[in-house]
Amino acid sequence: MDKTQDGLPRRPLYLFDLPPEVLNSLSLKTDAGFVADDAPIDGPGPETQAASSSSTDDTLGSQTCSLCSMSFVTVQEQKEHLKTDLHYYNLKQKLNGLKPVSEPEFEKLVEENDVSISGSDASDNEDEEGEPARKETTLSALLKKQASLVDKRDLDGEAENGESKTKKRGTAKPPLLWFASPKLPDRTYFGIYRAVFTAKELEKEDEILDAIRQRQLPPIAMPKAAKDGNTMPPAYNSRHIFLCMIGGGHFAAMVVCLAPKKSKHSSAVPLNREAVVLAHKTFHRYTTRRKQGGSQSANDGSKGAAHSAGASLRRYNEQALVDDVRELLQDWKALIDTSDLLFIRASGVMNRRTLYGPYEDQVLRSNDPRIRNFPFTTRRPTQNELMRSYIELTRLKVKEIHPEAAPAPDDGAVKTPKAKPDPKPQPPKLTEEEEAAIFHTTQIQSIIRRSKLPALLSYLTTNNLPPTFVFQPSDSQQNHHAPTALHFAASQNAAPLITGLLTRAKADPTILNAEGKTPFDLAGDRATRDAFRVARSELGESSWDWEATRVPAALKKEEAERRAEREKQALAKEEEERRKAEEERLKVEGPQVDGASRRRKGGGNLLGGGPPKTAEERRSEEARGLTPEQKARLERERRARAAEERIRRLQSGE
Amino acid sequence: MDIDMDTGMVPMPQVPMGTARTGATILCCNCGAPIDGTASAGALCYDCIKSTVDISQGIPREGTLQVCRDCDRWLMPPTSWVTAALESRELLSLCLKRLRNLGKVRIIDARFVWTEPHSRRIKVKITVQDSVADGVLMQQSFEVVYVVTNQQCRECAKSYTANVWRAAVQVRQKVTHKRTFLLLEQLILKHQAHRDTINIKEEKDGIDFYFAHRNQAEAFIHFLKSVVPVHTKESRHLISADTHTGNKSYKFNYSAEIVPVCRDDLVALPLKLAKSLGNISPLVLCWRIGTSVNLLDPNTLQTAELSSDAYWRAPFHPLAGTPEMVEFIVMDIEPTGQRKGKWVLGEATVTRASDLGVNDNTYFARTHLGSLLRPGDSAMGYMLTGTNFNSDSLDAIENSRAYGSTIPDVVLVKKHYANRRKNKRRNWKLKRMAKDEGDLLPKPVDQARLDAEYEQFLRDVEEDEDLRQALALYKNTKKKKPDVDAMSIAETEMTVEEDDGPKVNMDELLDDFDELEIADKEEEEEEV
Amino acid sequence: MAVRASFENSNEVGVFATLTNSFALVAVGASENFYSVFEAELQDVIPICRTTIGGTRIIGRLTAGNRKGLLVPTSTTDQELQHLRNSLPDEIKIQRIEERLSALGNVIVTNDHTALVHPDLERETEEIIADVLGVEVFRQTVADHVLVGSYMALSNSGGLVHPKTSIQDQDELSSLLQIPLVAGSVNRGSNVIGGGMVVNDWMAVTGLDTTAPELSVIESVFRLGEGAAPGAIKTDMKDTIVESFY
Repeated sequence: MDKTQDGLPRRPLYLFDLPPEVLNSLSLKTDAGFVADDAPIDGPGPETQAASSSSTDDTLGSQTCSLCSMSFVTVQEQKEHLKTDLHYYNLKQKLNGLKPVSEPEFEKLVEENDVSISGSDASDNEDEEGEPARKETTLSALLKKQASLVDKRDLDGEAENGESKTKKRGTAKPPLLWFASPKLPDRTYFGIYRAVFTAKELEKEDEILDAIRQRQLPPIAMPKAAKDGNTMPPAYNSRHIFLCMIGGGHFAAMVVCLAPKKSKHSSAVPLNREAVVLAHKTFHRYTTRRKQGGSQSANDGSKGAAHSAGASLRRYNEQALVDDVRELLQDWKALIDTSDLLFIRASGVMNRRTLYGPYEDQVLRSNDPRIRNFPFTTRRPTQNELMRSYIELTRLKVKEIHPEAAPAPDDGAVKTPKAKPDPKPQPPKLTEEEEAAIFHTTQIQSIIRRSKLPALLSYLTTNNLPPTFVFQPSDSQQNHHAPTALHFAASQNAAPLITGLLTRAKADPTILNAEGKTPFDLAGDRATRDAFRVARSELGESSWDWEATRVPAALKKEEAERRAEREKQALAKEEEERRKAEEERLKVEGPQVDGASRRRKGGGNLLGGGPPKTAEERRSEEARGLTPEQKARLERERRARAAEERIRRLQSGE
Repeated sequence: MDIDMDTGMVPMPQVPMGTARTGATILCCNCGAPIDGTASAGALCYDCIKSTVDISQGIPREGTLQVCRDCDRWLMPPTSWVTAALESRELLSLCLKRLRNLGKVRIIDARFVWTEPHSRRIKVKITVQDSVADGVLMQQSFEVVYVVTNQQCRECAKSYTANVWRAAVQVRQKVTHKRTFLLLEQLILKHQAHRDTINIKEEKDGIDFYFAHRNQAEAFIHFLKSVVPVHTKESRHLISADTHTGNKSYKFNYSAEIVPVCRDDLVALPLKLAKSLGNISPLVLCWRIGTSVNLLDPNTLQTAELSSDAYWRAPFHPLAGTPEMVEFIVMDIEPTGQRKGKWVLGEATVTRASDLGVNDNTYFARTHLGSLLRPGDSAMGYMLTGTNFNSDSLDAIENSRAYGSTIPDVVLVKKHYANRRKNKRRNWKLKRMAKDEGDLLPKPVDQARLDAEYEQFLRDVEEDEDLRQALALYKNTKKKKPDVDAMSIAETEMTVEEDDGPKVNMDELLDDFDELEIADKEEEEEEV
Repeated sequence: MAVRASFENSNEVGVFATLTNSFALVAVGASENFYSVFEAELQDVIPICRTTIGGTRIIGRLTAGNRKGLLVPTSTTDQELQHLRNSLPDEIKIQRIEERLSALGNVIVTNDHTALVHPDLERETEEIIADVLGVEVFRQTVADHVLVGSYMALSNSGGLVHPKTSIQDQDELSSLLQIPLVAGSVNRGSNVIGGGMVVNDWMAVTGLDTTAPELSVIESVFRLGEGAAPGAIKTDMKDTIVESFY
């Protein structure tokens, strides 16, 4: 297993360049309707622990960073970690009394902070010299931002969590297709976005693996970029996709070649394939209203045209942006037309109109089958964001998925050493049928509780449920005890329901619950048991194996009624006698009781008459009319008593 | 002194930092004992802290408590005295308040250690808590001994030095009855104006109030001026003089003379004065005494106000007072429609109650009681016809052209409730002031007169709502021992008597706590 | 050899002196007694320079240095700099640093191989430290205090840290520095270690209040026992030093 872990998930897998052993081992996980755990296993996650535990060499101290909860093999690694921005950021977090962040979180923060307003920040990214300087500024910017916007960031974090939850909760098709592979540990699967497949491919799920195989492309052996950064674009005939985002006055578009470029990038960078960007462009125009939000045109539409300088600027800019974008699309027409897929994010009427027109010789058409939405949340349209989206789309997700209703995984190997960001595990997601079953269960149980026989029968027939319908979820306490409607009715002592279920719905009285009991065994009172016996007589001996149901000999309905009548009379008689006896007793005892209560009442009045006296007043009252010697003696006695009492209490306390 | 009696250290809850807490990390800097540095106070071990740090430093271990031997009260500095039993919560709080620097630490527990009362010592065991170093709390107990000393409280001192007065206010009213003083007593009680008096003495025609300081006396004079029309004079008597410093000490006497005109008095104003008071008819009734004398002409309902200054410029005596009033029976009465406030002018035909069955003399009278009186009612009033007043003012009126013919035969003053039961039990009562009544108790005759006056005053209070507002009435919860005969009589009387006079509404009354408790006790005894 | 001394009745020896393996700075104006403590041990071994920094005597808190160099703050006057230059051997680099956190002794703690610095120190300063002192520089905190220089004392053979430092933090720092660290106190429980003492590889000077247990801890962690002398240093540490150098 170590080997597989080393081999596969450590390096991110690129959809269009899967290693052959992975490719051949893939198989579609058919019941991938649910996603259990949102903690992705990062490649190096599991084995770091193993490594650290094995490497107890004889150096001083512990090679860990408790702040970032990391451990290292060598001192050198530790030292390097201590010089990273992550560690420094966490140090500042700690000093500010905040929680340290994990590495992925930190990277996300940096990315979030890194978006330049113009969206064209890619230029200084290339050269090695600029790198530390840029990181420096981003980190300090990040720290500044974090210092001023701690609260806000928290909110954002929550919002993001919520988002991811809703994504999972949705009943529509999940955005990811899951694939199993023997190369992966148990319950861990590869995920590929549906969006990268065509509709045709998705229909035939068994052939989807072929589709993946088709997508494997040989990497382009490409010379390193020339110093001036002008690489000759590779031939357009290679497969490529078009990505574009527009919103809030920002526009970013990119055409990426699907075939990766092998680059000899040095060790530290995990991805040693580079995406080949055939063309990219970003625009930004000032169109959204500062501090108000919304576009100028939307505002004009709703409130009438504003006449401020800013409004006219924005109006001009909106138009200019539309022109720019359309011109660009026109320029890229050849590229776009040959693209495999068009990933487009354009929310809002305005933005869609910009792209899809209708206008003269438009390039994009909204009914183009290649058009896809980004199946995840994206941020402000920038070059970086497009790149991130591209990587997100084409990289294979590795996730641990727990089968539904299974006990918590006790497999130590797959547990990540990091604390999970969300301590509350999501309740396992359920299939549609199970959800329906649970829904029916609650409905039926509530009907039975209300003893509505017609409602129950009609509910069973309208929903095509068999009378032997087994309640879901089967592991709950109640359903364990009473798995069917008949069991439940019996345990509720609902005699008419039992009669109805047995005679009209033809419920099976022989079913056993998890404790091995028939419905009859659950019946709590005589009436319920009689209902079973009456049903036995009405259905006849042949309909069920009555011995198995443990229902005693049949009982005629009239007989049962007669008996019930008899019992009722006996009960009434008994009650009458009891009442008579009680009256007799009251006649004898009554007056005494009255006297006692009156006395008590009088006392209550007295006590309520005045406020309680303080100790001092009581003392003076008692001492009134005594000679000084008597007073002294009284005082002395009282205090001696108090002392005794105190000692006694002390002893009893111990 | 008892630092190490019972010392405990409580580490404050700290935010766990995710690091493992494993045993000792540092050595105590004092004794070298290994301790956990992350949880300790500074670099000291438990024992060293216990032996070196004294959080109760600065808190005195001895104190003094002052108790007044006469009233058993404790001095609460600076000046108040509180009642507290030994080993009571009150005394404990007093003891803790006497300790300086106790506010700097947190008091966890405080209790008395028992001592014999005659030892004149009180011991209190106090447990305090304070943070020694960052994050570590220390708890420490110690005992404080208080020496109980005697000190006379001001009230007791006052009661023993009744004669040491500096200022006296002599309140006088030169009338034959005490009604004004009864009212004044109630007003003084309500406003607590007698709070500072050293002594109160009843004298002829008035009361003397003694004060320890001149300003108290002046405050009292000020109070008097705000409730009755009074004329004051100050005089001083040199007691001693220090020739070196020029300091002198005096005794001050204030004479406060209250206008001798009382409520319900018939007044014959000097004509000139009557003219200056809005040309009011000179023969008027005094219907109220406030800060000035309020006069009413019952014939026209015209009112006038005579300030005390104006009175003392030209003093006069009332023509007739309450004792001269006689009872009349209203034969017929008819309101004229003229009204002023609660008064309605009515024209009444009355006959003297003593004349009933003797002769048929009837008199005509205009009265301000038109709304109150009904034919058959009895009313009190002054009989002018056939009465010889020895008054210059009246003579002047009789001789004047304008007013000579306007003198009425009868002036009705107030409604009379003839059937009012003697000694009837009221549901309310007034408080009385304790007075030093001079050398001798009044003679039985005088006592009867005083009682009658008081009864009359109580009736006035009952009849006059305005007056009630100015006084403090208390609920009378004292029950008389019911004996069977009295009960039956009372019941029969109740059935007979219809018009028992006005009553005071229970809502107006105040609870008197002393009385309540006594009643309570009695009831308890009855129950037993 | 660990000795006690006091600077004008103050225990905070580390405030008024800087001690490295190649020189010692002491503030002017103390009693001869204080100087004699240094001179008795260091005379004829390393130069002892009496100086002020920016006119103040708190030179221990304003400067940081090791065998190879000395860092002084911007407040240092030219005369003082000249004086230092004249007093110290030529192979010791002296550098004046433009840094907002000008109390360099409080924000930098260093031995001859590694320096720990305040997390907010500027990158330029960090580089200067690395260049002048010839050390690896790490931004660190000690027991959640950012003033690493105040709460820590370092030599090539050991280190004393703030008493509240957790064991895990000690382990990490110790791994980083490759020397044993212990938590402890000086001057009868003071946690301001750096301010309360100065140390190099063969001697330590602590405040007069330092108790015997504290002194014994200091002697054991800095290996100042008998036989510790300028000539006897680095015998057992040589391997690790060599390893980290090349």
